[in-house]
Amino acid sequence: MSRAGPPGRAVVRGIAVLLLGVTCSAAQTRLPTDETDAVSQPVPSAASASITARLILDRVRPSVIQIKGFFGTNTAEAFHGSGFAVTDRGVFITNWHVVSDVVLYPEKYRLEYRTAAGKTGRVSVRAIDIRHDLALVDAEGFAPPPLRLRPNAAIGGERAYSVGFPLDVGLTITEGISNGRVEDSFEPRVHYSGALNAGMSGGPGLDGAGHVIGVNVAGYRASQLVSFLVPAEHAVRLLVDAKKLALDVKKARDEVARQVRAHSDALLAALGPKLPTQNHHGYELPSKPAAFVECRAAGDPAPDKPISVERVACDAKSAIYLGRNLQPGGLSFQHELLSTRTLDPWRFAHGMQAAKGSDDVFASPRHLAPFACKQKNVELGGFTANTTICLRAYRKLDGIYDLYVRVVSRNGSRQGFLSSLIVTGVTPERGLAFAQTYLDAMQWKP
Amino acid sequence: MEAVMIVEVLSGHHRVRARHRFAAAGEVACCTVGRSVACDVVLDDPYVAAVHARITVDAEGHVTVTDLESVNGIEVGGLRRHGGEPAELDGGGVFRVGRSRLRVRTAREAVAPERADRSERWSRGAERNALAAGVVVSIAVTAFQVWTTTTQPRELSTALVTTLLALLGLAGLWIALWALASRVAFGESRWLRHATIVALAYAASTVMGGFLSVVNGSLGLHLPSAVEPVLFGITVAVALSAHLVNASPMRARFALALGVTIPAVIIAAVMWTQARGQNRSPSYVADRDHVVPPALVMRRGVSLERFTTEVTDLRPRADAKRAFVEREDPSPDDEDETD
Repeated sequence: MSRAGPPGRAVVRGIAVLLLGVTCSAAQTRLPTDETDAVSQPVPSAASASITARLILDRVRPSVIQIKGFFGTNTAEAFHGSGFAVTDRGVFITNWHVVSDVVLYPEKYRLEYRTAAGKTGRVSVRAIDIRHDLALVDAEGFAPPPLRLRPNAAIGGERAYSVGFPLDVGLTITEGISNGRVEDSFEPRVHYSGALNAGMSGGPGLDGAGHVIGVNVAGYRASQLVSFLVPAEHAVRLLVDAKKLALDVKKARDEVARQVRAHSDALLAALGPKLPTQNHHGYELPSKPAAFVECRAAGDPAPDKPISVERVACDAKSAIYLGRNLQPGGLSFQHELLSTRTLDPWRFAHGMQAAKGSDDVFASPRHLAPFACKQKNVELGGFTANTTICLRAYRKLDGIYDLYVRVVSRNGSRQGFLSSLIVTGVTPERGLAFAQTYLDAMQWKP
Repeated sequence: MEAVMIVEVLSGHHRVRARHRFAAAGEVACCTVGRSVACDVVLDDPYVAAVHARITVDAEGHVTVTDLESVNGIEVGGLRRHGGEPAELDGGGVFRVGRSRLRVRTAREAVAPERADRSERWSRGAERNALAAGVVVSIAVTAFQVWTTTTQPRELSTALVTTLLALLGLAGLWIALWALASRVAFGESRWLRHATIVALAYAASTVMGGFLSVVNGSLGLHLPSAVEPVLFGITVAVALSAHLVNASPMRARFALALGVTIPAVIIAAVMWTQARGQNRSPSYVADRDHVVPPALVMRRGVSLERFTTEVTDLRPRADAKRAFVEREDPSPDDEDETD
């Protein structure tokens, strides 16, 4: 009974489908008029591009599948994404985040595919590459010709296309421009200036010849046409590794934890053994440690504030998606610099104490155990600072932890800083070593 | 030999409302109790008969009470009696007629020795001084706290006035309630006593709180997080016991027990709830160090090398916390706003 669902909702859905159908057909009918306009106002490349898009779509159509996830025995889907064939024996590539629920909760979720022609069947996960957000899956009883991968090929300015099943409206191609490799990203990404919508994840990003230059992975919801592809060479590498490394469903969590650890190790290694610093009001504090770390600074421009505050926040934007409220592999730190010209030391100290209370780290109790902490006054480079180091374990993933460090300067009666660092999904040894690196960089150099 | 007795009419709070003395040169003295003007002891109690009971005392001081065929009878030693048989009164000498309570005192009664009165000599003076000291310290500490949290002169004056007024209002209400209780229990308000208790308790708790945070900041003492609430609870317990002793007829031992139990239960419940709560932010879990001006920092910190070797025990501690939540809280719900 409950499966049938309330009739009201079914009607609403019917209307929604109708509306979508209308908008789609309207778009299709309007297209030729656009082209005649284009002819009268000469913009020739648009016409040729859409022919290319049509050719590419025809070519890749047989090889692209929609991957659907179901919760329990429900026949209504829980989520969906896209995938495409990479071997002629029914092996497809998709995004890790499309299949993550099935890998982490195999007893709760199952996967199915649906081809553009409507054929359906079971899907099982063969290998995962969490760091690059890729997964290899087997589609039972479906082995179309594979698409050709073109590694190391993202050239800025090249026309590019992306194919997938956005928002459940059927196989779709979008057209845009490849802007080449993203310079400032820890994860290798191709910047695709074209539309990528929910449901296209795992679909192919293609060049004008129909060769795969990347795998659709993400778009910024608030921005327009800023989308990203995972470069094709990572798909090639996963394909090679999958031959020797099949994913054991029972030990999937261990494999996920291992890959998160490897990711964090690589991230911290990329930052090097010593952090660069910048002087703020006499304090040398860690500054942008690598090109992929994004730093922002801001302050209150009102000049007469009794305590003036400056904030610098840096984020490596390296977190990887494991599920809702569970995105380890990130690194961020921030400094809050306080100074006063008018206040006495006592009230300035109180202002620092108050600022301390506003900086907090919360987390999902489902995924993370509580912090274990140690707080002490520590002699850093030329000044005393109250230092707290905390570690918390992941509840369902062995061997990975979150590190939290907070430093409150204790030497200045008219200036001081609060600094906090959080590194998620890291081994304790690596995390604590990085905490030392972070603290080592701080110096008092008025 | 003379037979003497004093019949006292008691109020609901065991206060004497009327006192009658009966003496007879012979063996026995007696009196009648009732609503009628013919009685020796007249009661305005609708549950009392016109002539309700007779009280007799002999020369040895033995008292008997006899019901004179009333409807409601008399109640002696918790037993209701009707007619005929005279009932002997025990040492306390209290019995009930209708809804009134009477006490009979005789020559047999042992009289407690005279108590020396010291109140005039030092107690009241000392109490006044204590009250003044408590008020001055409370106002000074509160004013200092207000000054600490404000940065602008205008903000300071506003906060000072509103805080002190609020404090004064609350303290006044609190004192008035206890004074009312005292008045009900003892017939005197004991304003001074209750005001002194409040002033001293408030002064003690604010001074202690400030002292703890400064000592903590300047010496880097990691006092357990329970220290402050426990000390606060002790102050409240002392104050509450003192209030109860002065505002209820209960014995000092009971007042102390109640005064300790109430804050202990409340503070234990609050601490238990907080410990069970899901607040897992490091500043809540671990931050016990207050920021004080550098001039007050008395102790040098440890070296970074030493600190980094000390934190290696964080891994087993984090693992223990994980094992604990897995056992105690295997499947908690996530709130939507968490991250």
